Amino acid sequence: MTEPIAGLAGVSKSFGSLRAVDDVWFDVAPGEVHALFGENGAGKTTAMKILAGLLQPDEGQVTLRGRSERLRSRKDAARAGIGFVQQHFSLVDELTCAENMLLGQPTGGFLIDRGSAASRLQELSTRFQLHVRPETLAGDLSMGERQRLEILIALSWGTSVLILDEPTAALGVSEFDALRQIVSGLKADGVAIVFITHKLPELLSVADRVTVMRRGRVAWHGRVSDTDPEDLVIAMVGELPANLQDARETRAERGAEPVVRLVGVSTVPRAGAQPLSDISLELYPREIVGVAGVAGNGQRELALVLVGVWPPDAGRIEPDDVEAAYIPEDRALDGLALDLPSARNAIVRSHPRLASSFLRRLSPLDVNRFTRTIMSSFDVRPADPHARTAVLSGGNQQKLVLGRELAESPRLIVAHNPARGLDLRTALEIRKRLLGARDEGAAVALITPDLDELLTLSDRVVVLYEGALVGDLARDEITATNLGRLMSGMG
Amino acid sequence: MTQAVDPRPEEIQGRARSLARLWRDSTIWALLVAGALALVLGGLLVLLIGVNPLDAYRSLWDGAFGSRQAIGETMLRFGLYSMIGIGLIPALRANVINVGAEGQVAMGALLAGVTAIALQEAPGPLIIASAALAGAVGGAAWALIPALMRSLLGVNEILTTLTFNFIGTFVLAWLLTGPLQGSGAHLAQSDITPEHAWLPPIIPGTRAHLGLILVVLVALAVATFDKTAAGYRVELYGSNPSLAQIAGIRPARIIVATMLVAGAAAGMAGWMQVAGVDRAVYGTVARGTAFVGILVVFLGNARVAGTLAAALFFAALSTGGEFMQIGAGVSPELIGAIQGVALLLVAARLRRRGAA
Repeated sequence: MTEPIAGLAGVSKSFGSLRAVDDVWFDVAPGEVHALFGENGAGKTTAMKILAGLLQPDEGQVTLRGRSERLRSRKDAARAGIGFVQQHFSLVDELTCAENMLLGQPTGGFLIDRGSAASRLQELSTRFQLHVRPETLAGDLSMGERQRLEILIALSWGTSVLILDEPTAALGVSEFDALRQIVSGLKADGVAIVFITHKLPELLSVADRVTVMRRGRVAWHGRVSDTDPEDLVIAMVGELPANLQDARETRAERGAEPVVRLVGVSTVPRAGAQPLSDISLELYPREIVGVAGVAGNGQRELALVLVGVWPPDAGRIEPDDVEAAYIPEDRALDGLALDLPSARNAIVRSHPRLASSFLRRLSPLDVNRFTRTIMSSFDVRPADPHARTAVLSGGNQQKLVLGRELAESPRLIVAHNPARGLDLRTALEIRKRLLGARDEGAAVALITPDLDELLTLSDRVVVLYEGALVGDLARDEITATNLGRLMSGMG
Repeated sequence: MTQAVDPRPEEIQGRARSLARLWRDSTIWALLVAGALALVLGGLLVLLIGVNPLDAYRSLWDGAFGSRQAIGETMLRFGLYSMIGIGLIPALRANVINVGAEGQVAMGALLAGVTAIALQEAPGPLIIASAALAGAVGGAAWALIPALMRSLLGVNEILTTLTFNFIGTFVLAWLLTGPLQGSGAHLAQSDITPEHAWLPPIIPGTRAHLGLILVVLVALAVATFDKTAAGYRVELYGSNPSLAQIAGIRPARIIVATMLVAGAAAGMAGWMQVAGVDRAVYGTVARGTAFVGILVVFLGNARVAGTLAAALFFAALSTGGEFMQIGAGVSPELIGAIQGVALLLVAARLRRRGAA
């Protein structure tokens, strides 16, 4: 193998109390594709942002051609020949491809020269066999073309190390083949490529070496050709806690009618959403169905379909009028009106019942009494119905959402990452409430990236991968291998 | 961690809290401060041109409240401003910004006037009620198109309602110089409406008319609506549309309903102007009042009491301001400056709610 051209030596980076990257060693050589594999939030992007000069490490060093370097900015990194193509493209739709290239230059004078930019882009496009027409508006490009343009822009300043962050996140399946050809072309040209992904098949088909990250640390490193994919999967999800493996007797009432049944549900692609494809799922009373999967594989979409906000474009939901409780992943977006007083958020579900028969009036007395009941039974502080909801801490906000959603004894509960960002005690409290609701007969869909949570609570586990359900595991079938394979698309 | 325990009984705590809240949140309070500060700054301007501010403000006060006529004139404007402003409250709660009052007033006035003329044979109460209803329908209809464009096509309602002002006033001007022009009229003006369609004065000897009763009724209705489940849903939609949709609230309904209410109120203001003051439909019927109506609801922070207070403040300033020129030799443009400062002060306190 040739000498590494760029790398990280014992790099760490914290955000507040979160150690996002912890003592990471990594390198990449010219003409090599080095995959960085792991779940969302494992620290892959953060580590590579350090390599690209976008973040400064707290400890450790960035090394370039064997020497330790301090990259203070994107400009520094670009001068050193490092290009970073981010997951979310950063093109300006209203400008042409050539103008976007000018915009992307880390260096450059005050005046711009559109003509030479166009011919420059044309030249790059020919050289790397990446077809892009300089005068096309970026807004008219397909996702695959956008990506090609981003790569060309990164190459335009003489990049020798190219970092691709989840390059297939925005691409269709057919476009992956094109991307693979681009990658192997660049590789043949001697470019060092870092390929960040959480999809195992992609990794196996493009990478020479692989580093697996879990919770900020390197969990595995080796040559792809010498590696059993199973090991990568286990490295990604970690060993499962042993005490959870005991098969709890499932209390689901399989004989009963399901609370809700999805039959062949699909959705059409919408902006920023992973479409669902042909999902069939039955949720029975008295069971918690865990929905595993790497974030961004259709979790929010499935939740919205289940709670009836998002009608499926194909397939059906039976019955289609189940009153569902919903604990959304993003409280600020889907859960709370933060500018309103807590009481106003407490009655989102119950206000029809609280309203008087005459004029449907909501008596402030009733509303406050109701809110105080929720606040005391779910220990929400400050227990002031009049306080603006934004002043509550995250945990208290979440308890308010949970209390309100469970207040009407729903038959179906959809909980998406319900303990996200909460301290252990609050998380435990919330999990206990979900178990309680299940024991009272509710069907619970627990969508979560937290495997501990999934395994502690679920009676069975299904796995979402690219908008499809790829597995249905009973408790005793849940192993790190099974789960990891399904989650990374090797089902 | 232990929480600080407040030893006072809960009712007293509650009362203390609500007093504190009144101090902090009350729109009336904010309005008073803004108004006072604006008057102080206005006084400085007056000082700058060499007039004693106290003299200027004394004549302002006299012009607004100093005589029965003055009070009548102030109440007349107060009625128009608050009718438009109160009608906008539900829309504003829903974060639907309807700036189309001018066109809606014009269309309301047009339909009310045409109805009154067409029904000249009808008895008094019937003709008044029909004209009022026609005004509401005219204004609401003019708001309906922008409402549908927003709810079905996602077209920004600020833009459409603004555009509809121009269309509305031009349509009105065209009709009043063409097919509907009054016989013998040279201006954009309709025939005089029948006398029994006119609103009698509410304060004898002044121009303030019975339409004020309708303003009170509308204010009570909106205040009541605020406390209903439907009012709550409007507020929830305005504050977090995504949550509202998850809670089963249909955005299109909220947008259309609140816009219709705003349009109907503006249309009734148009009717009030025709039936209570102008006696005929003029091309300029909406001029000057419609936008003030929009300003007062912002100044009143989309609350009923606040909007009424702001409407009274602006009405007093505008009637008194005209008198101030005669009484103290201060130009009425100063009034515009004072109104502007008051608005800015309140605007500084408002934050844009929810997503646009």
